[in-house]
Amino acid sequence: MSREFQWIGKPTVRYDGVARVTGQAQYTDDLRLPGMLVGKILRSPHAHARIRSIDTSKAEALPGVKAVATGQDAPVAYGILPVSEDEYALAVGKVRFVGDEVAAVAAVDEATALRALSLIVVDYEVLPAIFDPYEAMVREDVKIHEETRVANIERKASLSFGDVEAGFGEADYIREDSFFKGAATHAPIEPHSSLAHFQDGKLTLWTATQVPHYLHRYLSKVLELPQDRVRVIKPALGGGFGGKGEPLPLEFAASILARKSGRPVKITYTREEVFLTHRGRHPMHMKFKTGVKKDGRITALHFESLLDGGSYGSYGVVTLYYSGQLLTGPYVIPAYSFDAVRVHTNKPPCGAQRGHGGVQPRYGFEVHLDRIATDLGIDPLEIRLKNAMESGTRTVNELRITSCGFRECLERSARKVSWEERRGKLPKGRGLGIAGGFYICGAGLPIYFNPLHHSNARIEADRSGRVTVFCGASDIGQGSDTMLALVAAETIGVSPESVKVVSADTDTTPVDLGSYSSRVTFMAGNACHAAALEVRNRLLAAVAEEHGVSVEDLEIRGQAVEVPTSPPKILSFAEAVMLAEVRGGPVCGSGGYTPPILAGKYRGAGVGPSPAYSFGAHVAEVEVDTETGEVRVLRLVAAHDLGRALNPPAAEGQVEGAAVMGLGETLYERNEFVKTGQHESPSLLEYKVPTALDVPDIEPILVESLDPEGPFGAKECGEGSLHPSIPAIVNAIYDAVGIWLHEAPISPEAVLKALAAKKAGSREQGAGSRT
Amino acid sequence: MMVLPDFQLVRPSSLSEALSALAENPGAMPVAGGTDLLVSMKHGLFSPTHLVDLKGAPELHHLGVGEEGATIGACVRLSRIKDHPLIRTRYRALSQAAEAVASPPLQNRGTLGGNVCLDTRCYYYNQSDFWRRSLGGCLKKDGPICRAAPAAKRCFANFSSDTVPALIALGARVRLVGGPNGVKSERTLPLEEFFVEDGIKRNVLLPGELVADLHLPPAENLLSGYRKYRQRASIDYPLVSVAVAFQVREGRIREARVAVGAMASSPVLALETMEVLEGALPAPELLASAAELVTKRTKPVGNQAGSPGHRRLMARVMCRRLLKELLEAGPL
Repeated sequence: MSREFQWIGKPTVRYDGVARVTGQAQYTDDLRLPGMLVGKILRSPHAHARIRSIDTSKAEALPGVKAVATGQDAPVAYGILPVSEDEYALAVGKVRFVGDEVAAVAAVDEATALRALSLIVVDYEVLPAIFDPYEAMVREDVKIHEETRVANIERKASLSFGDVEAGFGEADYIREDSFFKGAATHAPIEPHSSLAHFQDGKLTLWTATQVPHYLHRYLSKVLELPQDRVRVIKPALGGGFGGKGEPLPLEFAASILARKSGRPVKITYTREEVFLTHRGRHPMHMKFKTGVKKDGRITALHFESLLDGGSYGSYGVVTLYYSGQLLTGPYVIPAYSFDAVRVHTNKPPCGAQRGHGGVQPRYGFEVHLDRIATDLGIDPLEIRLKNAMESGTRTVNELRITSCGFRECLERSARKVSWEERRGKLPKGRGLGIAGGFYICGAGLPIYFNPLHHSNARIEADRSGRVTVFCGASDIGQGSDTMLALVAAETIGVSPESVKVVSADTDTTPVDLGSYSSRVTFMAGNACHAAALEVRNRLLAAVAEEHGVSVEDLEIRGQAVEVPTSPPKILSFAEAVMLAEVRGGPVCGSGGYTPPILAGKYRGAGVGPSPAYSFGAHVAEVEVDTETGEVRVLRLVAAHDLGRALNPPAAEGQVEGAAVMGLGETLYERNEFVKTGQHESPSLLEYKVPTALDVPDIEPILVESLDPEGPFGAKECGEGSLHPSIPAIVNAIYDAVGIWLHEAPISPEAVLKALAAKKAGSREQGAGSRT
Repeated sequence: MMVLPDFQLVRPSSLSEALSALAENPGAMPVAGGTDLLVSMKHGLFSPTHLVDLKGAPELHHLGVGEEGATIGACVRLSRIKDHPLIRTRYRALSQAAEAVASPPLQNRGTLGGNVCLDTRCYYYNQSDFWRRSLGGCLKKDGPICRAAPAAKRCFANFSSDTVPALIALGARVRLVGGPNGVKSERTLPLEEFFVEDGIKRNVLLPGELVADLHLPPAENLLSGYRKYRQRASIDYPLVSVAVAFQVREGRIREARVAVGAMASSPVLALETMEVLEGALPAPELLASAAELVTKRTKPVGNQAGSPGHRRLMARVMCRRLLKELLEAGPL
């Protein structure tokens, strides 16, 4: 676009901002239907057990109970990935973690529903449970899923690119390190909620989901209903972060109960149930081996990961591949190999969480890289700049890099804290750390194979002068509705406030694959842009014809079309719409987006490719209390290359939120279990999401590399901006007090232990060798 | 959602009405701010037939600070204590402790009496009904053994009040009213004697008896402070807390009182630390050796975040820092 932007790059008020801050936004749990019942789910008290029988007769007989469901009501396996459809709406035959869903009831009120649950008699044969992933790798006598061929290994992945052996041979220095990144969970403020209603043989489900389209397909499959008899609507949603990114038991349970009872059924999870539903960050055991030249240039990298997947597949196979595939940037790695394993354990299933798959390896690698730099006497910023990847290149595993602002991210974040003057020179107890990262802007392939667009939008301009965008994209609080309004407004030339957005309703909006893998701005934005161009072209063609001028001479600005006749005429936007409507009926445009074919030729190449990549670098400044072990983050500068900031305050909010989430995972949040499998802290009191007092002012820096294929040059900013924060904090702790922490989250006790070990001069973890 | 079990709400308008309501209904429980009790009821930890709301009793709202000391009614809100200018200057430990409770919205709701009577806490106890049942319960609720210390014969649930260590350090006495001997019965005892080192029994309150108010002795020349160790800077219950109060007369520490919270099932008076401080000249070595003894009588078990060893270490660090801070700052 040659003309200056009217709206892009300037602050735009959120589409739903006023409704949200005034409490008027309607979340799923706010919805009420006449005759609505309350649904509740009975959960397994055992970590691993076979179900011999379920007797629901007493529950069914309880006055006020309108339906009781068990796994037998819908024994159709599903799972977000077609390669691991290993879940049921309610347990069939077995339970695999404390909290696994066994049965469900719908009753006139919550107390009756809870009473009914207590009347369901389940006869369990308790089985030995496995909680440790190393044990899961070898225990042949305990099979969490009968289908796994070797012990409890769900999947292995091994890939190799370039000549790894030669790369290590060429190195002057080789270092090996091990890391462990513990689990974390999303902790969205809105608990999951679903309201199901059957009418005339058709199911409508209002639900807090990031993926209405995938859910639509799986509801149809599990409930054995044709797709045209299923409608999914996503009301206002209060945070997903990946935890609402796949079909979940309550969505099926509410639907089954609504079908059985003939009445609307709502299930809203308790906070504890949100924790048990999980699908969060995989605990990951990792090993890195990196070869470098004397000057710090990387020659080869080998990586190994063991993922503790919990009880079901979820997104795990993708997590497994991402853990390996996303280490080939943001540094040039000429030769690379990885071996990754995902196992089942008797804990709630792990899946996708903000920054999916790349977060744990990024933590390990960036600390590992700092250790190499320290061993060689190179500044951590310098080693990163030396290896930084550039635009217009390809990684060793064939990822196509279009725009790349990584170098600028490093330089600007370092400059902001006066890195050169201050790093390594602060008083003891204070330190600076830097780390980089990169992330996809949407997966190159859909979750199930199909050749269709990943995103679609339809736009209509009507004679009232209103523009309406119809798009399946799911606004989960990140602001995608505002993005759609903004892209449509800028493309057509009207103001964003005049654009209405109808989104995330499978009956009325064209398919978008959902809010996951940071794909929405890039893909739905491109689809919306294409649709808006069609509308604009029709309008201008009609005006040009009516007034006998050329289309090139027309411009839509501020709800009006300027016509360069003499004397010049100003048409209102509505008048322009009417001219077009007279000529060709309703003024509609449609557009779609499909990523170019980017996958390499090797098996496993489907995970990793994306039409564009975001880049980032964070610098943390920390203070370590050497008597208590407490770490306080004083500053977190977060530079993020997002291509172009369409709506800068929204982008800054995403970067700040991601950095805070990273900080929480680094220092506070522990998603652990007691030895019998119960979640240790299933509440917001005991699961330590940082409070406002624990978080410094985050200083976002938006770097604009203007991607050639993104909408107006934009890329993602909500997930990649989490990656660098964890290692930046860990590296800053080294600068502050000289200890390396190879396990996160970092407790004060771990800091004190490392300080004591350092004082005692004991051997450190990991080792390097000159070759 | 989590639902409250059914109960009848009784709203008396005087203390004697409240005591009668409690005496008449053996299944009743008193409630003031409800910030802890209602959550526990949702967890199925308590299922009272009646809740007797004490907030309507004007006798329980008195707050007076004068030359003869301070009297604070059980229903005085924590935020009022935190912000009271005379409490801030004369009884700093109490003001600091009130400010350390949970978060400002909860301080606006929670009361001093409620915080004094706060239930003890444990990973294995403060969980939902589903959670506890899946494990077969624990000594404190519906189970045969203590899950945190299975070999023990008693409950080790953790004493978690912020204000109590401060009150004890400040020499508070608690006045109890009502109970089985009738609504007119009344007794007053040093606050440390109110508590019992047992996570289930917790204190000496008799059925139907209430905490009416707390009395603090005069605060002349008193230095006091409160420190709390927790994971986050807000919201969390203490993992360790230390309160100190003393006077400095003719250069020597006098009438030192040191209380430790969250390190046993009751607050612990650190007698050894008090003994070392008493009459001593403030010197850095002294502070360190006094602080070393602060955990002597504590019995933390693994029922909170952080290992017992770490919590003991933190108690010593908090105590030393607090002593140092008080001696350096001097009287306000």
